[in-house]
Amino acid sequence: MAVKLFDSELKVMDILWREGDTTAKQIADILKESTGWNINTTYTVIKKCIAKGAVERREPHFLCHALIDRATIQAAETDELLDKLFDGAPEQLFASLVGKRTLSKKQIKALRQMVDGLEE
Amino acid sequence: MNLIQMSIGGGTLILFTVLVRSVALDKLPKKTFFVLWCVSVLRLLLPVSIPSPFSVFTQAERVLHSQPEVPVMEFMQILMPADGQAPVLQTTSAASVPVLTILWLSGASLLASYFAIVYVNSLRKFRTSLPEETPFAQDWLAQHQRGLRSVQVRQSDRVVSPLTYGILRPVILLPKNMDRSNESVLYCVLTHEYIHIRRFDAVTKLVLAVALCVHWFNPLAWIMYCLANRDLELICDEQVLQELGSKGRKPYALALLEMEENKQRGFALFSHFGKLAMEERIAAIVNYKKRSVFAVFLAVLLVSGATTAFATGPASEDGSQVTPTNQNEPFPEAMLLKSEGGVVMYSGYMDFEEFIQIGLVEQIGFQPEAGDNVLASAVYYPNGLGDDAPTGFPASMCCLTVDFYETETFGHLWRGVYMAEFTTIDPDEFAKGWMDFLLNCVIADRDDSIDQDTKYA
Repeated sequence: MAVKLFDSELKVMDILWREGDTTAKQIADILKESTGWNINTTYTVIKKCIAKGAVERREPHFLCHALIDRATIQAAETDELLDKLFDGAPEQLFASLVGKRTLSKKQIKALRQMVDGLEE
Repeated sequence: MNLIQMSIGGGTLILFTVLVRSVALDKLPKKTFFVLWCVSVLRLLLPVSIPSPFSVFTQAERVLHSQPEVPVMEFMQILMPADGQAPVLQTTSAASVPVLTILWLSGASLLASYFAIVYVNSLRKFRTSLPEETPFAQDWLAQHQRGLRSVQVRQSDRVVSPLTYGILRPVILLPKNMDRSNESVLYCVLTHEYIHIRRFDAVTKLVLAVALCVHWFNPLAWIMYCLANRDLELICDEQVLQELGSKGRKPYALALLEMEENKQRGFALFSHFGKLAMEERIAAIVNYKKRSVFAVFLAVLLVSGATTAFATGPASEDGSQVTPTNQNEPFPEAMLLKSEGGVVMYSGYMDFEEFIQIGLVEQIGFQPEAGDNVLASAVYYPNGLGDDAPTGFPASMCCLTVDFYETETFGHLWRGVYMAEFTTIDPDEFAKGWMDFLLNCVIADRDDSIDQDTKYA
């Protein structure tokens, strides 16, 4: 079965595919450079990869080994995997352009008509 | 001032704000509501209020005071059972207050931990974002690094709409599936988020969440939380349009709708609430115009008026403590009800110094000394002592260290039982002004004062 990974997890996989087995420490160093992640963030993502069965942890030194290759990876569809448990709350805590709750197509159409009346 | 009073005080202001908002949302600058919410939050969270004769609470008290005798009689029955043996202490319900406190605490901590979990989970998710490399975004960013805080623009496949997080190192997070080729939309999005950052909306949102956690039992606090969060967006929209000008209305509204449609690919979760919020915003953008001087004047008047009327506490007409004589004699003169076996009971107005002198010293020959324990219960009329009354012993006894014992409320009356320790016996330091309360004082035996707690528990 294909494993679905987020972009962040793909970043880790990219390194493993490119460099072969790499220690978590090295991955953290590389990603700090390229994405600005701190070490905790990188470890969180690596652990997620392990949990999804994409990476195997080997000792010593937390050596990461890719269990699947590029071809079997599928990009995760955001909405499917969004954490639904706390739906609706984050936009109240974080400043956001639009809230998380969605309008129906009909409602958007009606609003569009309202906006179209404006002069540019 | 206790929590309930703070909640009522803040709630009144919230109610007023909601009313004004529903009538004049489109007519006033949106910042008006922001200021009103700020005052509401301060009133909810700060345990102080400035006494003002113009306060609605002053007016309310005047109405309440027209029939004070009835509650006194009710209280008397509770205070004075037939046997007359230190009755106050026996009738105090030991369980009622702690149960409420525990209930409040568990509600507050439950809500707080919910917010904390959401916050930490989201942050953890956001931190795995990747740098945004669109040249347009990079150029925009280079032009917007004026402040002390460095702003970052990043992208994530785990958010559905653009958002901003971080207070000291703010990050604008764009959804991965957003159309980067439409520069007009991108510009509107970045400007909107940038204004959120400049306005420190992240802090405001945090303070709102704290206020909600503390006042979770107050439905008005929930209304405030929702509406104030919505108003933050409206204010932000308004400010964006101030920068873009009237011509920016259409592209901005379209950008908003674009983002809304972007989410359609996900699970559609119809919500009347969401509909309202979005329609409110689009309508506000369509109707946006420069505020007239009159509207701004009206807003200032409204805010200052509301602050004076709702955010201040009750006070007397001359701003000082009320004496019964200038209040149409609404309270009975102090009357000695009982004096036996170390119990002195007065009803009505009484100066504390007078109580010490006449009540304790003359009636039972008590001379206060340092270290004495006095068990006293007092019932307050909501007058004169203002908001401070139910939080502790009357102001006139502040020279004593008073250990809180127990309190109970009967309607709007309140009774507290205290263990008061005399740390000073200089009578001059006692009362200034009147106490509107009924005092039942039991002077504990000086030799076994330590046992008082258990003796009457």
